Amino acid sequence: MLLSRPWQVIQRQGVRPAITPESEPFWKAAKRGELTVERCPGCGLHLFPPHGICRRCLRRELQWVRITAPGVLVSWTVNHNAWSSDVEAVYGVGLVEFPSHSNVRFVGFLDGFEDPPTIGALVDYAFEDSDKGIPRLCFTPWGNS
Amino acid sequence: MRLADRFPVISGVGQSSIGRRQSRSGYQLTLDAILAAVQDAGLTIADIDGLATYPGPVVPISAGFVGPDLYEIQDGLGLNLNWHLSVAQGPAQFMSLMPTALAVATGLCRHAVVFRTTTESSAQGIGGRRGHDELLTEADGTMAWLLAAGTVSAANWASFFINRHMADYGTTKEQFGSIVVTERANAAHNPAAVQRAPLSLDDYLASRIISTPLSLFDCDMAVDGSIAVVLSNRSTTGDLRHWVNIEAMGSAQRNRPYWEHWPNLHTMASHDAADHMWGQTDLRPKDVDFAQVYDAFSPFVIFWLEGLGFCKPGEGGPFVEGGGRISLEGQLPVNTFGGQLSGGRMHGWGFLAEAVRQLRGECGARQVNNAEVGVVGVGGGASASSLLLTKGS
Repeated sequence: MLLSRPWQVIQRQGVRPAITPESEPFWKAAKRGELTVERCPGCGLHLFPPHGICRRCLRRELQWVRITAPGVLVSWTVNHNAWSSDVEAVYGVGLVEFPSHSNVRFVGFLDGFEDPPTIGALVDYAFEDSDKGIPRLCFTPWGNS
Repeated sequence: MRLADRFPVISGVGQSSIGRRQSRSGYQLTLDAILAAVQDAGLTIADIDGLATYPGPVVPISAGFVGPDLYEIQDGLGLNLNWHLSVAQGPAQFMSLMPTALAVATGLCRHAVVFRTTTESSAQGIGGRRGHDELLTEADGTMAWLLAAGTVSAANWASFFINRHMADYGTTKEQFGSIVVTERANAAHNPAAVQRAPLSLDDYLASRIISTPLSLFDCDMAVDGSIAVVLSNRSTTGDLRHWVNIEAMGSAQRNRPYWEHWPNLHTMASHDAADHMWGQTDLRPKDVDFAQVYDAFSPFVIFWLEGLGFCKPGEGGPFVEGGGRISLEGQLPVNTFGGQLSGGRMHGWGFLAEAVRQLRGECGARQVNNAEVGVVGVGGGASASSLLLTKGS
């Protein structure tokens, strides 16, 4: 079975995040379809979630940089339980690491992967809009698009 | 002076009835547990000058998750308190117990009751497992990013760890089943367990998938109930009916506090808590007579057994395979009361209650022979804490 984007889940499931001064740039960029993280210009570490401080060197003047694909699928699950009554039950979720960005990780929906997906697979990403106003990260196999 | 010589003793344990959709309020269940625990210690309510719980009246992450208000319990029991705490962040499910133990140890108070109450079963009704988006309208903090990503169950988050353990070490679904079946067999000897009917490996393997690789019988079960313990200063043991010693407490949080950013997916916060705990004592895993460890999802037991050093990294699957080693007659009996899988989800407190009773030799048909040292580990993912307990008097 090929896993696909769970449209109802993307639209309806989840909890709106509190937009904080630290997280606001991330969500603004996400609305433009860009996945961004903080980067420490001092030591080069990429940082997520954003805290306005580098946990390695404690520098507080950080840059925002855009993550570029590919990422690497480090783990996954295929959900089979409907957590809400009005959404599809079966969909894939991936944990993806970006080696070119200090291995920062993100969770998103799997689209176009086999069940079970292959750990180590290269992935591309895209954001989808949701009714909740939260852009939702989706991962697709690298090279498919 | 060793920390263990200063830590308080656990002088009493009590619990309400624990079960599905009970008709009584969380408040009344809490009173049942506290009154039983105080009587069990050989004390009276007038002796109690400390009271603590977690999480207290915070925004619940699921319906029925929070227990009653600490101060309404104080008022109901007419307590005059030198120590009072309800706390929502700290060393996993013992976040209330550990600071209170320190308050008792230093003499800020003499006898403290610590309780945990849940009414998740009544609050969540007869439907299946629910997501954390049922009640929350906005999320902040460490879980906010997972919830914003649309993943609303710890079953999904836990599976990231478990799938890596399976892929890299060859851990199998049947090995998880050995844990589930063994715990159910233990529950048959525990009249207070919620699920006591025999369960076979085939029954387990036939249960419906929740989130690969977890199926229904890998997941613990919402209940209503309350468990309380009494912590007493070591100078008061002359006034007590009996007690159990706290040898060491693992409260460490050494890695990033996010499930999805946990650096090594073959480990959990259990490893940090265990390492911190072992650093306080000369006792070693070989000295331990039983383990009561968190099983929100059955594979957590494997992470705990590896984290606590009962086997090497990656060998937790073979360690539990077939269930013999972790059975009541085995080398290391595990979750002798049925765990949360068969005993109900008391958010860690069922493990503590059972450990105290085992060390007092009160467990009847499920009693571990010559139980003198027991370990309790609670939590999973990026949050965990542990206790090493020894037989008292």
